[in-house]
Amino acid sequence: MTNPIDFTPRTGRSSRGLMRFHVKRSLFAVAAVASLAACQNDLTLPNYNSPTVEGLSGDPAGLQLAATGILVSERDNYVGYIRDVSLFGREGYYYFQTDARFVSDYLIGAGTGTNRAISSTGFASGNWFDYFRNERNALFLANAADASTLSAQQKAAARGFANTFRALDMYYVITERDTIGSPVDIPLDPRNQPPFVSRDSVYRTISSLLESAKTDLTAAGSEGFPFTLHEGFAGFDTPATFLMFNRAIAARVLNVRGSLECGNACYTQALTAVGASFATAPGAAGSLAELNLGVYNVYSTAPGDALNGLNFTQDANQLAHASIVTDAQMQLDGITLDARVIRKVAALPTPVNSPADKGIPATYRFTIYPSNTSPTPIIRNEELLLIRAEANLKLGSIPAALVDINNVRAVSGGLGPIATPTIDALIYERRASLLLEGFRWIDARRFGKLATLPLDLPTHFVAKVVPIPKAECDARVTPPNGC
Amino acid sequence: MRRNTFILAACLAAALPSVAQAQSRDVTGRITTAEGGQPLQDATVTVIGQQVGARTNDRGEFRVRVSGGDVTLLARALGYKRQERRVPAAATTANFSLERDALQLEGVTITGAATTVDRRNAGVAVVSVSGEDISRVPAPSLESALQGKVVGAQISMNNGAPGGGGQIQIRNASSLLGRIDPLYVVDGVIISNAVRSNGLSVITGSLNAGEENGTNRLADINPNDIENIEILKGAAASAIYGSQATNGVVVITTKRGRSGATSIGLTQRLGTSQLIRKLGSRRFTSLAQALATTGSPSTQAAITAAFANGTPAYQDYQDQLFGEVAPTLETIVSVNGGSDNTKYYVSADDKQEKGIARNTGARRQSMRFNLDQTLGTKLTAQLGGTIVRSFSQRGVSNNDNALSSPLYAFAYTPAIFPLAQKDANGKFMDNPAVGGGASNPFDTFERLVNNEDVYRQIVNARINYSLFSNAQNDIQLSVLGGADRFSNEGYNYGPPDLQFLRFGTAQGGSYPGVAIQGNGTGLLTNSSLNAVWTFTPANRWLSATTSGGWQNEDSQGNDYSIIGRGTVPSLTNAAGAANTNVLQLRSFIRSRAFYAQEQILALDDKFLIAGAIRGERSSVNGDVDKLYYFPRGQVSYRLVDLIPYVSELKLRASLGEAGNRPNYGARFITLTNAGLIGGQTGLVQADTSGNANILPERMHEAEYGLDAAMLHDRVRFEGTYYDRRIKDLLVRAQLAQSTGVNLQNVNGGTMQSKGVELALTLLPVQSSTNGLNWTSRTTWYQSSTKILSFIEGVRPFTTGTAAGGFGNAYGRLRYAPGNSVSTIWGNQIQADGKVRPDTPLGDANPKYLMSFGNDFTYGNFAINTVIDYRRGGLVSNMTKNLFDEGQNSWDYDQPSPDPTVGATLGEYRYNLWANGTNTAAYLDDGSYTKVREVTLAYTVPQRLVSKLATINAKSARISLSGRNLFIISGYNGFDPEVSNGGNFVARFVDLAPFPPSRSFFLSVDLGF
Repeated sequence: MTNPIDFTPRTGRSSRGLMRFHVKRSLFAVAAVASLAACQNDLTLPNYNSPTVEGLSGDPAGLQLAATGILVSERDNYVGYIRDVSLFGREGYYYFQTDARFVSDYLIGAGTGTNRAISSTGFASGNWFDYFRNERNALFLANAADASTLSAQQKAAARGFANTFRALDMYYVITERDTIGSPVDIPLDPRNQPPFVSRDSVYRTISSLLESAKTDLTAAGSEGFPFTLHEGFAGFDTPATFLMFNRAIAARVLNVRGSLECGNACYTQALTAVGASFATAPGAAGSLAELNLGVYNVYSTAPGDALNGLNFTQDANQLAHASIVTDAQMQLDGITLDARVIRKVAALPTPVNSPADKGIPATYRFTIYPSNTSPTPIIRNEELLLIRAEANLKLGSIPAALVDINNVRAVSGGLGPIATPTIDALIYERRASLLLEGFRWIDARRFGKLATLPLDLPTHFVAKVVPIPKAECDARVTPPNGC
Repeated sequence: MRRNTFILAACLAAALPSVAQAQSRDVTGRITTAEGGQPLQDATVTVIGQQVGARTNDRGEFRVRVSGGDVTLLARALGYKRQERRVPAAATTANFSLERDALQLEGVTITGAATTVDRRNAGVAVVSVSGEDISRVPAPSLESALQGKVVGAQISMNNGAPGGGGQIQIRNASSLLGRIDPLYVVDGVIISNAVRSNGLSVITGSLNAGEENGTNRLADINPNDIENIEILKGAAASAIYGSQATNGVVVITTKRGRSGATSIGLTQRLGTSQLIRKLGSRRFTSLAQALATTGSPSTQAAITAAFANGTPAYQDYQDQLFGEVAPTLETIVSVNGGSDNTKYYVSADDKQEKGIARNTGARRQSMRFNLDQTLGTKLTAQLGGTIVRSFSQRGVSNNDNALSSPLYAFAYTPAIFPLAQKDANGKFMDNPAVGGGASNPFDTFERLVNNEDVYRQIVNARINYSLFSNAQNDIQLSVLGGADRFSNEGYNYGPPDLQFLRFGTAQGGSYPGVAIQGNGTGLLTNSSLNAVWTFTPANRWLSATTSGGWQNEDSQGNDYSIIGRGTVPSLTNAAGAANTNVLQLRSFIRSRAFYAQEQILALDDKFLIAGAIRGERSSVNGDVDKLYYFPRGQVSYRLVDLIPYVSELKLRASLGEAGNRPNYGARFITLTNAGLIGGQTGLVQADTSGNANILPERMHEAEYGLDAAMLHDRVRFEGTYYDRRIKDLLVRAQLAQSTGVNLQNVNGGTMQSKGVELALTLLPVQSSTNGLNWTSRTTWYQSSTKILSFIEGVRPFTTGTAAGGFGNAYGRLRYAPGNSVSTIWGNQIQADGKVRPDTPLGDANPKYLMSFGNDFTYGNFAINTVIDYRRGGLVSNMTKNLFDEGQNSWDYDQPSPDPTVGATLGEYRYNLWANGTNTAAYLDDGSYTKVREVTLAYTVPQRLVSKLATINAKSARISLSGRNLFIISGYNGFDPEVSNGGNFVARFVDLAPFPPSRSFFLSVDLGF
């Protein structure tokens, strides 16, 4: 058993003066310990989780990382763009089983009558920020190269690469926003808000960026890029060969402009651009491999890499519209469908119903990409042949147009030749040849044929443009038109 | 330098004169309880006006040395009212008989890192919950044990999954982007309350980590080790912790040893849990009815087959999956004792809780020790430590995108398929709903692994040195240090043949089967050096306590996981999978602070005035060298026996500024790793730009209160009003995305909270020994937080976190000046038929919260009850929306209020929602009444205990208790308290939760 405890301190004769002195001394000592220790610790601690702009800018390895960043973004943005424009263009469905908004927001829209449109807050208003971010990536690469110790040629090469992609990113944005227009400047300080410019002005900016990139790539001479490109650029990975890719994109843009405000002047330039690209000579393409020649996004199963989201096993929600099959032409035997359709779509064993808006079961899926690592094209020869055909058709060079169209029909579609090229005939070829490559909706719109796109239900509609996302509108001090 | 201090101190001590022996005498006595006359151990006796005191032993005896002449002794004991007794010069004995402090008038409250003040003097609102109140009924975690006991806090559990997961929100949200949970401190050690993302979202395809239904680390704290919890609510109280204090501080003090014979406590608990409330589902009466639920030909074929022999039996999926009556076992052993100089408390606890669903459960095994050692006459040391293992298996719940979450799947599955039955091969059938794109939850819960295993160590040490003490002055130096270290191991495995993980499915894709192995470690350390000088002049007209000190705090985290997709059958390692991904997140935060504080108690202990300032630097601020100052002050005055029937009336006021520091990494402008292409890594511009000027959020709070004890201490009232303004609020500036940067976090907002807290404690019936005693406590709390302004260029914003809601269609939080922070925004159809998004539709914040606690004792019996009431607060009832969309709601076929909208009630509701254009259709009132706790305890009389000679026990108690016994609510769902995304600024999303359960326990406590 314990005793009662006494914690009485020793008290007694007070010695106040002494005590005060010691109290002051000891409090001072405590304060001294505190201040000393405070100086010993530096509070500048690193950021473990992300590289910082400051840390990367001075590092030559940064250029490779920045260039690769552009290519990763390019690829990662691709599937979203293709999915969206293929929904608007009735090439495909996206039946995300727990979210019906891939039906309602894309195919039904919001509002009524002439006000009916895609909602700026819904699922279908995307593909915006990621493209501008990639433009910013391109700007970062060009600036980092300029600030580096590279040779003038290498700097020009980096700039030409960066501007080609910046132009391509602008293309993706304006094809979706069309008449709304978009900004074209990337300010260094993100608090400065770049103005919106008109569609035609955006296209002109794209063309001039591509021309400026052409100048830079040419100036780079025999110097290589100060970074390496992935295997999707095989054959296009030096400034001189990359220029052919640049010209191919230039031709695509010029053709769109030809069908819009620019007219024949652009179609004429498009023919020149196709000539400087990697397009095969008229009538010369003899195999699918030749038609597939081009620049691709690549995928891999490596950790950290991405997989092709348009491959059915990778994403079973991506389904195909039946009109691809019902509208297909027959081969010469009269019973075999266009080989392009046979190659690219297959019937589903059982129809897949839409998540909530019942009544439009999908019956086909795409078979374009056999595996989840199949590359996706940024641009390829088959498109270039049809670009040349369109320019020739519009410029009145009917025989020249026929050569390319019939070349594609024979090699890609197994179809017999046509005798009279029309815009509708060209649209058919572009639809079949470039299925799920992002053109049908845009072609229908630029040729004034949106009404020809099939509606699955009377309640559906065809979007004309994709609105400016609400986030952009909200951030604007003066909201632009389209907000 | 530090050594020099001690040398100096030692010299100083040696120089002091020794005790004057003349004239002093010893006073001895005994302290007992007024009712029952039981000896009170560990009561203190102090000589008023002198720095002299003693503690009682286990027989309630004390001995104190006093100076000559008349003295006044003051006896105090935890849970009892103080008593003063005048001892004449000639007397050497004094006995005390203390009355129970049912009104909680006594006790002390924290005012600084090393200082306290009597609660009756406190200038701030004080909430203190005793360990007994916390541990009376076993709870899945501490939050649950505190529900209904803290006025001024909204305490909610995220859902019913075993192992914890809850939120304590003190006086509403005080941040939008920064930390939102209180700071937790155990015996001076800042501990982590982190929730680890285990990667389950990779398996279920849910939106983000919040939906993975993780547990916050408060779940590791063993309630049975707690002596007391004090909740610092206002800035004047919490600013002790500077820039971690805007959300309040929960100060946990553990049990300590008491001198006396070793006593051993043994508690065995046996309990069960069961589903508290079932949502139910639709009963199909015809084939046509069932066929209409789906457009999928394969599902329709399965439905037709099910109806082949007439209407199939109703399958009560919810009952089949969540209907297990789950046992809970808990064994607690504690050993307590010590001598004059050494005191110890050691405990061990093993709690096993089984969930109401198959293969779910939680187990916490913990050990704690506390050692108090006196070294000589001036040095005391305290050392404590906890080691704990928390293990949980929580299955799948909440939102997902693979229909893998059970209620999500049931919402779309007509209750006609025998999903719960295994076939002859022991396999479950595939769920034919949604064209086969769903899951069979019975199979999922049988085979999916979701294990969380936490090993944690918390240690604390304190050395106190009594530098100097005499009648007028007392100087104490203390060094305090501690660490919280944990490793939170997660392992998840979804076999490749699970229906929703197979090849080609939405989640399986090219890589069927997922294995995730991860670990998150944390290390939090803090230390401080404190000096406290108490000065009491001879005439006692005041007592001034001056303190100062310096504090260090480091916090490190390292979280990594291997995510393997495409697992080879039978191989369950993440590293062996076809596609692997490695994630890692680290953090390191360091803060340095000093403080100075003055506290003056004057006018016969009636008047208190105190003020303090803390200066702090932190590595997370934009300017790491800048000192940010957090001042605080409080004042109170007690009017004693001035008003008839009011024995004591205290007026109090306080002012304080507390901070909330920026998140780790916010100061850096970064690039993001965008992944690989062609074997090379790419970096891209970060989505959110860093901010080199970031600084702590700052809360300025004024609090006023009035506390009264009335009618001979039969009634106590406490009332508090507070008004807090938060400036430099971290807000998300939405930049024009066309600049290529999306967001930037800036200090650019102000917010205001106002609230009222009322508490009324009554002793309606009080009788002497063995008669009926009734203590009743009612609290009422109301608080609302409004965003006042954003700086120019910052628009209303949302955070995209799952807990903040799912877009306009379902309602979401959106932060906009002029609106409450908890406003639910969504779509609304205007008169012209247009749909207006981002329309404020209601508020998730409850109108008020009430709680009713009633304790009865009669003889050896005791009954304790806690009832919680919440009025208002909207809930986004997405669970109901899912069931309506799947045409499977339990009330789907009830009559429609308006057949032009929908033929049946379910159709009406769903159509009224109009594809999400009328969000309000699924915003429901979240009012509820919950019977949180009921306990019936019987203390076995001593004469019976002594008959139990074989076990040699000294005391025995048997109790029957229940937690969350009833919920009374008009809410059409499991429970309006749930939150799909876990802890958040405001909680309102009910989406396929793990259903909450009620539990019963039989406990036997034996004392040896």
